[in-house]
Amino acid sequence: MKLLSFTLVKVVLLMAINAESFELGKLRFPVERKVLSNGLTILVHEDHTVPTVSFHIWYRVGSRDEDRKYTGIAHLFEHMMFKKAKRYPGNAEKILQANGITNNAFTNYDYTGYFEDLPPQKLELVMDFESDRLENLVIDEETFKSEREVVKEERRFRVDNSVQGVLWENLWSTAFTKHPYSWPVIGWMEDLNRIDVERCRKFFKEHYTATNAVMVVVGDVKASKVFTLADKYFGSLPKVDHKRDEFKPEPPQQSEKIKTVKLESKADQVVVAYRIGKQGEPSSFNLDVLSNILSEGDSSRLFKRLVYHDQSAVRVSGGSITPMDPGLFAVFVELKPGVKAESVLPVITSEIEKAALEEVKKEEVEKARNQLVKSWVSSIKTAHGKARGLALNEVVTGSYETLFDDLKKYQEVNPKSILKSAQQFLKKDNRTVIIVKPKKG
Amino acid sequence: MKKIVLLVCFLSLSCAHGPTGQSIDSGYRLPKYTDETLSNGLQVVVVPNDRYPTVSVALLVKGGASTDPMAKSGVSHLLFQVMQRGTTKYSASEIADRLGQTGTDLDVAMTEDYGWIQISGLSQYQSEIIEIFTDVVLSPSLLQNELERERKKTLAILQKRTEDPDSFAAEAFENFLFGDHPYGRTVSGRPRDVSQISVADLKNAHQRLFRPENLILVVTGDVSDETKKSLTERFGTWKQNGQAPAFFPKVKGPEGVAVRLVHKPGMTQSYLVLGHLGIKRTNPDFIKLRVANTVLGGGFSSRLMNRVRVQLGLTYGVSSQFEARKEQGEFQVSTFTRNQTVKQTIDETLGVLEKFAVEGPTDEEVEMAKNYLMGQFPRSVETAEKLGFNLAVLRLYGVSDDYLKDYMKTVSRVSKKDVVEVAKTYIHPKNLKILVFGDQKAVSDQLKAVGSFEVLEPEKAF
Repeated sequence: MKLLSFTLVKVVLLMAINAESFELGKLRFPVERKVLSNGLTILVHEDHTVPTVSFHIWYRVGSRDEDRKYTGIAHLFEHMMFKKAKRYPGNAEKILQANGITNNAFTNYDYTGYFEDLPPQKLELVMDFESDRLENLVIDEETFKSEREVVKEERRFRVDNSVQGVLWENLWSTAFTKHPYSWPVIGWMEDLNRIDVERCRKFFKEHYTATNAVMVVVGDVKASKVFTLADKYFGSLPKVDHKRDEFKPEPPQQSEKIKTVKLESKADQVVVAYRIGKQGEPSSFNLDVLSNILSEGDSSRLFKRLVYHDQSAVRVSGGSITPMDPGLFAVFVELKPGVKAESVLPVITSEIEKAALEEVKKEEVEKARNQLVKSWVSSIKTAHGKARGLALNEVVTGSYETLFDDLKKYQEVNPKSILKSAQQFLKKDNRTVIIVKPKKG
Repeated sequence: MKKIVLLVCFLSLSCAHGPTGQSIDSGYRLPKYTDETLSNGLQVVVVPNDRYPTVSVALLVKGGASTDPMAKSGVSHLLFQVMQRGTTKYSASEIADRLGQTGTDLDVAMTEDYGWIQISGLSQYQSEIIEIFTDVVLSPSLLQNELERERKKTLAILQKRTEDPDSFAAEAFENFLFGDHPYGRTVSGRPRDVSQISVADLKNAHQRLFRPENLILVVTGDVSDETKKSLTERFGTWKQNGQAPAFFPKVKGPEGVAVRLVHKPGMTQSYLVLGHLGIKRTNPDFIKLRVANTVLGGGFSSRLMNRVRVQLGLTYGVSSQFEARKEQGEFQVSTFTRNQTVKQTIDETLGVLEKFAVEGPTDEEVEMAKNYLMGQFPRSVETAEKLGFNLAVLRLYGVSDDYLKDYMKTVSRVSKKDVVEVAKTYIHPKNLKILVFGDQKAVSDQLKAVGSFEVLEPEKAF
């Protein structure tokens, strides 16, 4: 929890912060990049300060690449990757653990990532394991059925029994109608029941190739060794042509959308969101900064107004969410029990949309930049954090360099550029509102 | 931002706090740090690291929520909230804006055994950062209007807590297990107590907790000599009047198996916590139990995970842990399952526990667990902040730094016999408390088959 303050939008500037004083050059680390002849992209950053290595292999496939009738298959399939292969026939977890390695995976709209955090001398074992499951995964009926039940439990846990989960799912399925972002990464329950082994096998064949993967290794290793091992274990895998589907843009929104959902909860929650552009566009940097100004921390406009001054909410959060395709600018507000979302909604929307009427203050932009830099540095202090940042950027933007370049882009943001982006997107007709209310009361 | 919500395949199984395993490379050495006790009794730990342009200054406050007076539960938690809302020099607004302007974070956390207050930001602003931190810690204004604001927020959050069933079940279990002992209370307090807390109570709590001899100052990152000097000057001459926190009483847990259902209608899943009393952090079997717990429920290839999730598909996550504390902590297994399979999940979990308590692990499992703990150790002290936090926690419990320095050696020496012994000694399936958080209509028939049970409304579960 952070601080709060009691004045409304009044920002007391107590010290001059010169954004230029950041030595942005210092905030980068060297990366070696190599692409194998089959298209596997490899990124390495050597860091010999701590005897640990973070190994990531991400595939350019996510829920975005699913068939509308089989939502959730990307994530369900990710679970299957932990089952059986040829050299590791169901015993991989034990072997990894016995070698001091921890591992996990995650699926998102645009990508699926697998990682191992390992002692440096175990790199070859990890290469062997990852290449085995990419080349020789076995998907059998019995394991599939059991794992599907696990995923259904996961859905109940993350969505059905979670207010936040319900809010998030309804937000995307209301704001989007055509684009795959309209369905949840974990999938609809009826689709999970419909997916079968054959479909999983087909999904694997289509998306899981060396060509479609990005490998990132950060830590106490030599880049030359990584490249040699990658070549040894992945080099002979075939090159496969992949063309990721381009989606017809989601039709422009014509009018405001409001949806109310009733749940067994104690208090109203609301999300107000606006359709925006895609990552990498200048507007995305303007909106990142604006999002910080509105909802990051106790000095943010919405915290001051709703949590501190009006005392109607217990928490405010938000983000300019920019996946590969156009995303959403969203503000989430958790209200106190007894406070009606309908009564607070006009306050929330007017605070947000004020950014389209008048320029934010220069000091607010500088503040947001400082917050973004601090948060960026915090995210790359570990080998795992660095690897994740590199992989995310390489997969989503096409180049890991954007991990570093984004920091420079924030330096170009100013009150005028924010006003322009706010005017473009933060409009009533472009707004989606989801309210979750208690069934009782 | 490109980062968006992720679906993670496994539940996070790592401990949120406290040291974990160590490197397989026996040559590993901890990064350098310094350690001194000032003349007023304040301990100062400095972990320098100039690789990143950030600094962090934190205080570990010994004796957390458990030292709250019986009818004043939640006072320490509330104190930490109100402290941030103004000092004799700066108003709440000024603090928020000054910190925000430099991208600085002020974070507080309250636990049963300690409080943690930390400021972290870009090193170019370190003089401003430590100035505000010192002011917040030493001269909070603790105003009535700020107390009212934080009180209302805390009460609202307490009222909403069933919305997060996972953590609600964990808290309800602690109340079931520890009863009237301070460990049985929620850290943020009972609503009836929180409603009564006054400014005078906050001032007393500040005097009780913020005493030089009761604090460990942890300074990490790209810290300048000037900052170190300034901190030593500000904190080294300071004294506090009044009483030090009282030690809390010995834990006494109920004997025998007992089942409690906390009822919330409409849930499609039930949350289960099964456990009993555990150990103090100073227990010499601590590391042996870490090995034992890793085999039982501490990773993706643990016995519990293998049986309940992988073989039977009953849950998405199941894990066990010994939460060692100042006084006897808890041993617990937590999981969740669809309503139809509550009894089956309890039976299967009990089956795994009973077998493990009788037979212990195999040779292979012990080796696996040891390697896992050693292999992951460097990550647990990978950053200056993580190392600083671990060093502070060791000082809180009075455990030597050798715990970290010799971790690998100690783990490597654990034998199968050791683990069999600690499994027998510390795991008691016949003494389990079973907490179920779910819909009474959907699960009560199944629970009848487990044994007699009581039903409570969520408000009565604390």
